[in-house]
Amino acid sequence: MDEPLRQAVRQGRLAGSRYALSQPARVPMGMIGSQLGHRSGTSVEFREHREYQPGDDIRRIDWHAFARTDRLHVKLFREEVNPHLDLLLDGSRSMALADTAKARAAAALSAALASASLNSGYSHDVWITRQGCQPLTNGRQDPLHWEGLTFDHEESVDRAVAHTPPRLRSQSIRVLVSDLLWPGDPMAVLQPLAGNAAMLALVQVLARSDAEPPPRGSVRLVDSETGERRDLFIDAAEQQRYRTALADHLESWNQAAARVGAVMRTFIAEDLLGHWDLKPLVEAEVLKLH
Amino acid sequence: MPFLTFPLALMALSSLPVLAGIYWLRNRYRRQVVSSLCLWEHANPAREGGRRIEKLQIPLLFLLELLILALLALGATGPRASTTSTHVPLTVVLDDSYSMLAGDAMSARTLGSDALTEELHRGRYSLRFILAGPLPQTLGASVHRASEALRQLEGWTCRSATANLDAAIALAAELGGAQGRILVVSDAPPPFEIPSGSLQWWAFGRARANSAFVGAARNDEAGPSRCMFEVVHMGEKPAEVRLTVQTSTTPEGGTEPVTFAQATLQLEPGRPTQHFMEIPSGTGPIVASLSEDDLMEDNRVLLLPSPPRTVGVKLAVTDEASRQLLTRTFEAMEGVDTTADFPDLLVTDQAQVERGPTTWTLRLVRDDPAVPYLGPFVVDRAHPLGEGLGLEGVIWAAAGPEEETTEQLAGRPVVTAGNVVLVSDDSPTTRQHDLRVRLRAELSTLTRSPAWPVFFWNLVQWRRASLPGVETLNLRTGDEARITLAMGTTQAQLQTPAGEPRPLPAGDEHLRIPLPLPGLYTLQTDKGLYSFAANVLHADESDLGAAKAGKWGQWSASPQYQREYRSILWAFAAAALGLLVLHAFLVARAGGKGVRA
Repeated sequence: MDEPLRQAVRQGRLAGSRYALSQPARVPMGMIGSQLGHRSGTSVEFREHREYQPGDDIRRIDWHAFARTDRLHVKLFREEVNPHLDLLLDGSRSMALADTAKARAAAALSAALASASLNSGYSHDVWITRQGCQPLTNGRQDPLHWEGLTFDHEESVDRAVAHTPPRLRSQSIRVLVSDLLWPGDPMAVLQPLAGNAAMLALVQVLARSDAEPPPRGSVRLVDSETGERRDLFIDAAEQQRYRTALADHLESWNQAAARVGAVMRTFIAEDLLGHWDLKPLVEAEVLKLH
Repeated sequence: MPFLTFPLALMALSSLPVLAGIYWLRNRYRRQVVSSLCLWEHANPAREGGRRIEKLQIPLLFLLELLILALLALGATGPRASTTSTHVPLTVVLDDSYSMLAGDAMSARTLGSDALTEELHRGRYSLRFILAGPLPQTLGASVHRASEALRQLEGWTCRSATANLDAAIALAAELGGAQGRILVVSDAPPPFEIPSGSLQWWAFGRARANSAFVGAARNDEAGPSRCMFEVVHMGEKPAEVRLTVQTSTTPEGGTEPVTFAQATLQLEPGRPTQHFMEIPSGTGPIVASLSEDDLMEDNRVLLLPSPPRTVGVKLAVTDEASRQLLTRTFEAMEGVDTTADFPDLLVTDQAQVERGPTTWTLRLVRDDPAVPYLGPFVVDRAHPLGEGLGLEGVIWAAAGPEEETTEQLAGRPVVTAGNVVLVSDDSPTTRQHDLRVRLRAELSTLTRSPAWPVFFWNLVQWRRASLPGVETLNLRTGDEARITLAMGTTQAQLQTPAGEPRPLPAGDEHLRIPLPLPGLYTLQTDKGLYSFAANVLHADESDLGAAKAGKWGQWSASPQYQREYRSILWAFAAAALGLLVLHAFLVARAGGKGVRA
C-alpha cells in the first residue's frame, strides 16, 4: 500500500473517530448479548449444541460433550445480535482514476467506517474485489494496520461477487464502497449483499471528473479498466448527453437500492477529502456522532 | 505561365503548409482516462481523422480553404489566356558556326535543339528557321507542326566558319513582319541590348579552353615540300598539345596512312605557335591533327600537294640578240618549259604567227627609229604585269610619238611614257591575251634593270594562274575556290565533303565554288579532275572563351503579346470569392448545430 493511501487511511481513521455506526433499524440491538434473537446467539440462555466450526468462539466449546463424544461441540445460546460490519471495497482500476483523489477518498472512507465500527464496539471485516472478493490483510484490525490496499484490478464488482462472493456474516451491517460505474444490472450485486443483512449501504465515491463531462474539444477517452479507446468531439450537446447518462445510471442504482432496502449516498472524492463532511451518512442513519 | 518568379504566388503557396499545420494541430486529440466508457455509449464518434485509418477523412472546410489559397496563388502569377486561335509567327535564327559543336553531347547545338523541341511542343507557332552562316539562309518553308519543324531542324549542322547573326536577324524581321517573333539560338550572349518585345535570345554555350589550327600552308614548288602549321591555345593556362602528321599515300604509292611526324607543342595561352616541317617530294595529301579537346572541328587540317604548273614558252624571235636575251630570261625562271610543243606563251617579234586557240602572245615591237624615254613612266599597277614593276632610272628606247609609221599598240595600256604606249594587253578572246612590248633592247637599259626579270616573272605567274586548274588548292572554309576550266569543258560535277555530288554549269572559263564545309572537294570535268581542300582556320570562331548560357529578352513585353493574351485573373478571383462564401455559410451552419462540417 503506497504512502498516499496509507496517509488517506490515517485521515479516514481520524475522521471516523468522531462517529459510530448506527444500530440497524430492522434488528434493534444493544451491547453484546443484550437482545435475544431467534437464532443462535451468545446469550446465557442455552439453546442447543452444534458441531464446532473453525472460527467459533472456543469459549463456547462444550468440553463435557467432548469428553463424552470425543467430538467438539459448541453451545448455542439464544441469539444475541452480534453487531458486525462487512465492508466491501471496490478494488478495480477505476477507483484509482489518474489525476483524481478517488483512491484516497475510497480508502479514507473505508477507514472512517471501520473506525466508526470500532467506536461502536462492532467487529468488522474488510473485503476487497480482487479476483473475486478477498479479505483485506489485517482487515479485521484497526485500519492503521491494514495492508495490501490497492486499486489495480480490472474486474468490476459484479463479476468479482459472482466469481467469489464475500463470506458475509449473518445480520451484519454491509457497506459497499465503490464508484458503481460499470454496466449491468445493479441487482446482480445488491441482492447477494442485501441477503440476510441487517443493513446495506451503498457509498458511491466519484471523482469530480466522473461527475462532470470533459471540456469541449477533441478527446480520446480511454477506459481505465479495459483500455478501450473512443475518439469523440465534445461539444455542449455531448456534455449534456453525459450528464443525462450519469443521472440515469445513478437513478437506476437508487431504484435498485430502494428495492432491496439499501441506502445510497454519493460523495465527490475531492470534496470529501477537503471537508470531511460525512453528514450524508449520518442522515442515512449509517453513522451517528460518537 | 511563370509561377515561381512571382513573389506573391510564392507567399500564397507557402501558406498552404501553414494551413495544413493549423488543421493538424487543431485536430489533435487530447487523451483522457475515464472510469468507464459505459456512460459514453450514446456519444457520436468523431468524424475527423482519428487513430485508426479507416479511410482518408478530409474536412470540407479544410479543402475549401486549400482551394481558396491555391486560387489566390495562381491568380498572383498573372494568368493569361490566348485570345487568338491562330498560330503565332515565329522565326528561329540558328547559329550555324562550328563553335556550337563544342562539348559533344552537351554542346550548344544539342542543348539548343532540346530547348527548341520543348518550346515547339508547348506553343502553337507558324515556324520558320534561318541558318546564320556567313550568309543567312532559310531551312525551308514555314511549318505549323512541331514534327515538321523538327525534321527541318536536322539541317542545322553547325559547320559554318562564321555566323552572321545580325544579317540573319534582319532577314528574320523581314520575313516575320511586324507581328512575328524572333528567337535566336546561339552559344554566346547577345552583343547588343535586346529590345523588349519581339526578340528573345537563348544561349547554350560554356566558356572552354580550346586548341586549334589557325593557319596551315604547303609549298611543293621548289625542292623538298614544306609544311607550316600555326596552332594557338585559347585558354587561361598553358597547354601541351600533340601534333600528328599523317599521309594517306606514301611516295611509293601505298594507301595506308603513315604517320609522318609527331611533335609535342608547348602552347602559351593566346599566342600562335608556328611549326615547320619538310616532307619528301611527291608526298600526297597530308592530314595534320591535334590531340582531342572539346571542339574537334578545328583540330584537323588537310593539305593537298600543289605541284608547280609549268608554263610552256616558245620563242619565235628572229632577232638573234633578243632571242638570246629572252632565252636566258626564261631559263632562269622555274616552272617554265621552253621546249613545249604546244606553248602557253608564244614570244615573237613577228607580226603574224600561228598559235593555238589558248596561246598567249608576247610580241616585241622593234621601232626604227627609236628614241630613249627616261620617264616618267606610268604603270597600271592593277594589271598583273604592272605588279611591283619599278621603272625609275630606266632608259626605254622606243619609237617617238611623232613617227607616222609607229604601229599602234592595241588593247589596254599597261606601261606608257607620256602618250606613247610601251606595253599593251589586248584580249581578243577570254582565253587569249596579245601582249605588245615596244622596245629597242640594245638602246635601252631596261634589260639590265630589275624591272626586266620582274616583268617576265609577272608574266609567267599571270600565265600560270590562267592555266586550267585550281588557283589555290588549300583554302579556308568560307572562302571560294577559283577554278579555270580547260577549253572545251562541257560537263562538271562537284563532290563535296558532305558526300553528295552535284552538277555545275561548265560554260564559263572560270568557276567560283564556295567552301562551307571542311574537307576534300573534287571537281570532275570531261577535261580533267581538280581537287582542292578547305580547312577550319578561324581563330575568332575557335575562341570559346566568350561562350555563355542564358536567356535574354521577353516576348511578353511586346504590345503584340498583350493583344494575343488577356488576363483571366478575374476568373480566379471570382472562384475564390465563391468558395469563400460557401466556407462562411458552412461555418455559420456548423456553429449553430454543434456539428462540424
